[in-house]
Amino acid sequence: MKRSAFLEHVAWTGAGIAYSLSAAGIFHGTAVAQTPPQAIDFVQISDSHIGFHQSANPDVSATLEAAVNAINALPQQPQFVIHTGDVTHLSKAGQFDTAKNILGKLRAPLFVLPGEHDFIGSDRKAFYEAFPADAQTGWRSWDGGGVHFIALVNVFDFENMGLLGNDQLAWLERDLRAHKVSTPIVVFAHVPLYALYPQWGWTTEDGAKAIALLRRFDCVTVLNGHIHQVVRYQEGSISFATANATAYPQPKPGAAPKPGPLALPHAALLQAIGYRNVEVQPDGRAGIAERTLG
Amino acid sequence: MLHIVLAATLNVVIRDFSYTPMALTVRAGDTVHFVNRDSEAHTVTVQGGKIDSGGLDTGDAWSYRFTRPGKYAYFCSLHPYMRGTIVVRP
Repeated sequence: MKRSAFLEHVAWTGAGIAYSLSAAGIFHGTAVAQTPPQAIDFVQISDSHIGFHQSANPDVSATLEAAVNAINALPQQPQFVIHTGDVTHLSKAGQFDTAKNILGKLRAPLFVLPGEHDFIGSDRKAFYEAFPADAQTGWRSWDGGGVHFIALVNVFDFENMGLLGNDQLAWLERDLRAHKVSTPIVVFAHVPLYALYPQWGWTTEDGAKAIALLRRFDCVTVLNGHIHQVVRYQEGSISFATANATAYPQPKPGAAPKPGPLALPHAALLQAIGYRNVEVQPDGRAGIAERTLG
Repeated sequence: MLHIVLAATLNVVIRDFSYTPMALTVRAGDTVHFVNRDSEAHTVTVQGGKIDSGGLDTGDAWSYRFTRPGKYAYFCSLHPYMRGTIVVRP
C-alpha cells in the first residue's frame, strides 16, 4: 500500500493505527487503541454564483474552474472538498448543470451544501437533483481522522434570515451527545451561525442555540460562506471563519449602504476570491490557509 | 350610463434593495408588473403562499394578476429584510 493511500485509509476509518518507517524504508503499520496522530486536511470553497454576469465578475464559471484546477494541482490531495453554498446565482437548471460539470472535475470527494441562491422558488428540487444528499433532511454528520464533521442547512426558511429550525437543532443535540468533549468538531453551514452583521442578514436567527450545544467541546471550528469575505471570530473554544467566494467579494460589514457585488479591477478581484485549505490537528486546532486566485 | 372599468397594470420597481412603491393598492383583476432595476438579483415572494417570481436578475421583470381581494405581504427570498405589500380591493 502506498504511504499516501495508507494515510488516507487511516484518516477515513479513524481506526487508531500507529505507523513507523524502518531504517530499511519499509513501512510498518500496527493497529493500536489510540487516536491517529496525523492532521486531517480538507478544502472549503463557497459562493460560486454560477449564472452571475455583472461587472463584479463577468465570468464566474472561469473563476470556479480556476479554483478547481488549483485544488486539483495541490501536491497532496485534500481528504475532501466542501462547497458551502450559493453554487448558483438563481437556481436555474442550466446553472446547476454548469456548476456540476466544473465541480465534477475535482479529484477529491465533494460535499455540497445549499445557499439561499440555490433554493429560489417554491421547491428545492433543482439543487437536490444536481447534488443529492445522503439523508432526506439535507443536514448530516460524519467522522474522519478523529474529527467529527457536521454539515448544517440554515437556508430552508430564509424569510427570517438564516434559520436552523427545531428539528435540526434536536438532531444536532442527539448527534453531539455521543461525543467526548475532547473530540475535535468542525461545523459547516452557508450563513454565519452567530450575529456577524444582522443588519445585512448575516446571521442565523436560532444560531445561538447551536452554539450553546457546541460550547462544551474543547475545540470547535465553524466554517461558513454567504458573505464573500474572510471574517474570523473567536468565542470561547469555538473559532468561526467565513470564506472568500469563488465569484466576487462583498463590502465589509457596514462599509457600504447595502451588501452586494463589489466591483474591483480584475487583478484585485483575483486576490479577493479563491478557496481555503484547512488542516485540523489531532487536538482539534484548525490551521486555515486562504488561497486566492491572484 | 355605462361604466366600463378596465383592469390596470401597475408597476413596482426594485432598486437599491427596496420595492417602490413599498405599499400598493390595486383592484381585483389588476396586474402588477415588478421590474428589477437593481445591480443585485431579487425575488418577489408572497408570504405563506405559492406566489413567487423566482429569481429576477438585473433587468428581469415579472407580472402577476391579483384576482382575489386581500392583503399580500411579500419579501425577497434572497434578502428577506426587503418587504412590500399589495392590497387588493374588490
